[in-house]
Amino acid sequence: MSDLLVRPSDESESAAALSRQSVFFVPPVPSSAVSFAEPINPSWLPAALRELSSFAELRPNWDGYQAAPVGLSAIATAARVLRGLPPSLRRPTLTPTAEGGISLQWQRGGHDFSLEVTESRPAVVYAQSGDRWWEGPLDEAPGFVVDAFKAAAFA
Amino acid sequence: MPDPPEPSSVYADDPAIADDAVLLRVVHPKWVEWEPEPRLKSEAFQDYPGARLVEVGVPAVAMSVALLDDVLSHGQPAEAALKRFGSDYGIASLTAGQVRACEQGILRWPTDQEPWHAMVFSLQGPKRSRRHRKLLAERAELIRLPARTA
Repeated sequence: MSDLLVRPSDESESAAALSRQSVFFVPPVPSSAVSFAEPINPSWLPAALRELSSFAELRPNWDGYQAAPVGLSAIATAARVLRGLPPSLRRPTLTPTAEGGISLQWQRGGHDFSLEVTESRPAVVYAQSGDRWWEGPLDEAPGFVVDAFKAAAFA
Repeated sequence: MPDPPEPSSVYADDPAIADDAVLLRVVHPKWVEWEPEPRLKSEAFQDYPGARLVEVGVPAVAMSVALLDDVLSHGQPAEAALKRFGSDYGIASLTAGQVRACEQGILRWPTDQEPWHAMVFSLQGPKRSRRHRKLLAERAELIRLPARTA
């Protein structure tokens, strides 16, 4: 799981160094690959990246409850996660959080998986399959979290 | 900046707020998942950010609600809970009993502008867990939809 999901930016990729254009760049599919290869990116990716882009417009107290603006680094991290997902994955629900992070959530039937990325702390996972659930840092996620992710996220 | 205190060390649940008391939570448009049917996201039940407690004027994290009975006793309709938010926002309702069943406490915290204001706080840990936010979202009823954003 941790190989698939990218940690928040390190110092070599500070928020100041990221431009909005570079964050949302989607590499083109080589023309030679069009006829024979599976799609590299999910079909929903451009729309999801546009939605992430809109989060950058949120001002302090955007929710009326003193929510922090969504950090550019959090947006960049979420965008990298999305670009790394296989095309067979369903589109996650994207939500800005009060602490200036972004939640990516997949939910289907009794399965629920969410990943919250922020600028100030490591990614946090919530996973549920039926009555079993777990919540905590991504690095500490137990094995069933992967099953919950697969059940919730794959088409 | 030091971490704020655990809410249960600062706030105390008010037993005078009966379990059948109705609590109103104002809902930002981004806290609703619209497809296939409108449903509340767990983010609708987040605490105030810990870094903003001074601005909010509270000593520990919690989330704001309005006590419906207090709104009505001040001669106001339920929509008065939206007064400082605007017409794009929606309203979700829960009972105090439903909130307490999710390991949350409730206390009155009236303000000059909102004498019906109360706060819901986690009885466990430094803030409300996603698990409990999800349970609240599943139990709450959207009684007024927010404006649908693009």
